[in-house]
Amino acid sequence: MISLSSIKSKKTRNYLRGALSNDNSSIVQKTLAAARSNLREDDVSAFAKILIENDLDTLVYGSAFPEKAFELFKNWKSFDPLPLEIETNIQLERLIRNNEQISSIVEDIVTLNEQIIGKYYLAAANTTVQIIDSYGYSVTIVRKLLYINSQVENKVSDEDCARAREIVRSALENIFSKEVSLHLKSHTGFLVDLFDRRSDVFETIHAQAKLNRAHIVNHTEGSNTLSLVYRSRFPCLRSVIQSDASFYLASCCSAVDVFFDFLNMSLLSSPPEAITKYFNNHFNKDLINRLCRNKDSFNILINKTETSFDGADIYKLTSAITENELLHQVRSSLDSQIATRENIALETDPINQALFPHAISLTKLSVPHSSKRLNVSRYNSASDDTELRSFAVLHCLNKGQDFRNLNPGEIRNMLGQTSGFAYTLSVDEVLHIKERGEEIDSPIISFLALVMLNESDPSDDREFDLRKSFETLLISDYSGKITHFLDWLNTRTPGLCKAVVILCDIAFLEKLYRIFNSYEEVLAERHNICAWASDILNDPYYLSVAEQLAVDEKIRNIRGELDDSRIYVDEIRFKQWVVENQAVSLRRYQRHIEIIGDINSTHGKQTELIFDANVSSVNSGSIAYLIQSLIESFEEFCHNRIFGIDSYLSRRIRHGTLVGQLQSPIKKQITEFKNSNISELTIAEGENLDDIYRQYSAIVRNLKDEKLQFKSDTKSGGLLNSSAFSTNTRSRILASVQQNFNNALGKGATVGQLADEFPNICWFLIENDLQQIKLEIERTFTSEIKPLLRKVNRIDPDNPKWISLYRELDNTAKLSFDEIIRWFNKPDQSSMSVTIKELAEVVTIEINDHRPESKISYEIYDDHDVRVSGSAYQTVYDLFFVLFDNVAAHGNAKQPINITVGYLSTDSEDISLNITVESKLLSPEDASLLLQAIDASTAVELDNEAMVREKGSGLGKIKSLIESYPGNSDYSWDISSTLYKTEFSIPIILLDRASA
Amino acid sequence: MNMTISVLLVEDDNYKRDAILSVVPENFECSVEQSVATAVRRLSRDRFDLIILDMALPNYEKKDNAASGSSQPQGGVDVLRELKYLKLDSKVIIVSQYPGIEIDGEFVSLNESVETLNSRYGVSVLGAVVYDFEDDSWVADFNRILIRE
Repeated sequence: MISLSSIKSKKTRNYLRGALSNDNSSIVQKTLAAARSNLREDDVSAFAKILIENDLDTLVYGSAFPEKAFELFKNWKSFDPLPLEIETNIQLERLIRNNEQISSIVEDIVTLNEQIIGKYYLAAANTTVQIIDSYGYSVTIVRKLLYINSQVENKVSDEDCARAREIVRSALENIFSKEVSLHLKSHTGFLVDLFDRRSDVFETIHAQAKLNRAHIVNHTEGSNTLSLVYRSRFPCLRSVIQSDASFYLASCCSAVDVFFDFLNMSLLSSPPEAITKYFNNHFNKDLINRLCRNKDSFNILINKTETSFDGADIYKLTSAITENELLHQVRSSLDSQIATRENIALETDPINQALFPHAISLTKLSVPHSSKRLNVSRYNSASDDTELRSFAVLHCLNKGQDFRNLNPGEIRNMLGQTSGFAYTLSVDEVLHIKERGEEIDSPIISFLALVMLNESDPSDDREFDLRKSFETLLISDYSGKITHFLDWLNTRTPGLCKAVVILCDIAFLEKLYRIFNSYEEVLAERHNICAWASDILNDPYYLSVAEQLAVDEKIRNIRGELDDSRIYVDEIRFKQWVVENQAVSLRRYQRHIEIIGDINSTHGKQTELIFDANVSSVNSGSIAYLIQSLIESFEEFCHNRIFGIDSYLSRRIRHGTLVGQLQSPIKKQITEFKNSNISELTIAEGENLDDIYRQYSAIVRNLKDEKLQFKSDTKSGGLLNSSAFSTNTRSRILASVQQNFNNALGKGATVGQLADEFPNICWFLIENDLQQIKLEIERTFTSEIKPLLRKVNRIDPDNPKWISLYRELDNTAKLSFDEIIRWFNKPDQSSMSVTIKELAEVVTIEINDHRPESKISYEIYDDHDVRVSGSAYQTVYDLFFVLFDNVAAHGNAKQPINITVGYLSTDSEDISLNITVESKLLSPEDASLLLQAIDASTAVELDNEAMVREKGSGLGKIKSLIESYPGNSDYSWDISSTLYKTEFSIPIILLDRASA
Repeated sequence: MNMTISVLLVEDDNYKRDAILSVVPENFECSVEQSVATAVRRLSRDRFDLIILDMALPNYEKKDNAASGSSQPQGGVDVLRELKYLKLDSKVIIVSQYPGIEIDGEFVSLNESVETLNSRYGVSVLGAVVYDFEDDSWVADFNRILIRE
């Protein structure tokens, strides 16, 4: 394990320490981005190792084996590349860590290339899909798919080609999803701009791109963009972008693509030393050479390069055939093509002439990996000199410089110094703002300038300035309404508007103290912003965020019923953490399980081996992934500063509440007793009381400091243990693993569904410790407090006032200690207690949000509502959700649908609900469809991801409840209604009906 | 007759708040705020001679059945930043149950924090006291700082 102390730069050390100790992934990402930008060369190796060892690299670069195609693009906007040598060393560590998988996938790609060269397209299609299934997405593989498709799409008469085309198209449809389109629109604008403005240069590629995308363009919006972007990784384009190799390395989260970038660079004239070492030490040369081993492949590569093979293939080919007579021909051919395009691009574009004079002089293959980067991506966001100048103006405004007489050289210098931001706020617009009477330091200008500067160089101080600037702006001009400001900004500078939307996450908004009065207002405004962005920017991502926020709010309201005193872990945040941090391990575990079959029949032996050894060091065996994931998750469950048990302990115990609760009432009673008996008490009696209180306090303090803590080096007596695999819990963990995961995996559960199981397992792991704590509190009261308080009685055993005081103290202490014991009961969500009406309301809102086209309303037919708790809460909630959702799905969307809930019986512990769905336009056919749908929903698990995610096993619960209901026939839909009315009754046993 | 000193006590823990209020001199006119947000708003509205500041504060006050925002182990730092931003010269005494605080990612002992906070945020922190529910020695430390100034 590399220690933080091995980092020489204090700044970098602090950033890393901050990242390691923070749990907010967006803050960690920002912190790491700052760490990267400040990284010194002599810290690179240690920095990279610490990133890898702590799994922080995925936060920076994304998953090495992305499971979703859009993951390939999500980092592209935010990267400000490091010098190539530094970036290379960081990526090197990532590749070495994943070397086993990479070796395996390269072997597959060798096979794939051979299949393509041999024109075995069906086999190639299958191989490609298999590679995606096994190793996730990569640009490399997507390009292979596109190429295979281009080869088979017109060969309809060939059966194999037809089948290959079906396979490839299916895969491409998955890839060209809306999510990908969305990410491309959000994050890769500069590449699209670059391509569009240089289409003359890339005519060939463009034509091919059009050809390739013709078949897919109808499937999903934005696929053409994707095609272009995929092609932008071609070596010829890269050479135009010149020294952006570092950027590419940083921006491609897929390890496969990093590998090919490495391979590419290894063939340049002076590759970074680390890359050469990587291939020498970690890779089989024969395997590499097989990527391009014969003359046929060379010919195909030359002809089809731009659609089929990686630049690595080309360059490696030239290298692999060093002794071959074709070498010089290859070199000159490639050089000629690239040189021509490069010169056209650089010399015909006035912006390039202005900005890249030295780039024009660069020579083709030998120079492009200069460590000095030109920030082409940023510069090219600006479409003309006016926009470039406008950025300079804003920059000047922020720096307090005069912007009116800038010459082009000064602009260039300025852009060069600031990483170059170029949004579309033109000089005219800036001047227009000024003409409206606002001075240079107007709130708008200073805020926008800070937004840009913070983006390029984030820091705590700058973010504070940004928040204060925003507060001032909102208060002075927009009545605190951020969306009003966004409305205006979007008409002026959409680029900056988007940046502000991104800036306004909850963490940022939460600290606009002068704008918001409560955390609820913060969440509501975030919701408004996301809804605005979804609507105005037409960005579905924000729609999903807004919907999630709405659901969160309702859930939070329901959860407001929870007793705050209970030991508590925010399971939503915990599960979110699991999904964000353990997806890779869980996926690997799942793959292993799929490969080896039934976990029950295979993992027992492995598990024994694992537990016999040091579990944390085990790196093989299917169960190891899961165990490691459990260890890390349980650690967070216990110690995470936001949602972990330790944060609860900090709040309720270390922060004094416990001590106050246990001591204050006793101290108060003793003080009052002394005050009211001041004339009668002897000095000795007074001292006796003081001494008893001191002892009482010592016992409480000892309990707090030594027992009600996590065991650690300094708190060895702590009764909570975050080590999941101590001896006494091993068997329970195994049982838990078997019970919770085997079934889930057997059903092809998603990572999110697996994450749902983690809280239960963690509570299971901590359960014994909680029990120990409760016993210890009981023991402390019985064995230490009671005997101590008895001494009060002995001060003067015959005097009633001492007896009375003793009883009062004893009773008070007992109540206080009993209360503390309850703190350590595992919280049970089913302990929520809400009324049927409240549940119906929440579900109605959720469904109407979930299905904006629906207009469901509800009504409770009863004068007095019934309050339910425990499992009844969950059951009724799930039941309502299934019913209402199906009504919304199958009812007539154009007309309001009223659902009424009445009570058939409320007198006993059993409550029967009579639910009526009434709609004037719900025809018998619709009603029949609705009932069939409800029946189907409750009879089988819905294969509906949204439903499963929201409701978990709720449907299963209803199913079992219905099946277990006596007679079963009571569960029947009674269409005894008129043409326009559908009515049915559902008797439910509410086992946990709350007392009135 | 003693001069009245206006004091803002920023403290979210009821026990601790009462304990502090019970030891401040009679001529101290105390106002209480329980979150960073309310403290920041109060500071932009009213002037105080002295601020008694807890460092671990919620961003917003918790209302019935509502969330108070993310926990803020260094919420007090935001209040100090606000002082600097508003160019206020109020004196500050930190009263914390924790022996150290985190400043710019570094844990600093409470005693050392005074100098660090003053230089980092340009404020006038007079001293820092480690509060203890049981041990009243913090009161002596607190009074010592008051008398010194």
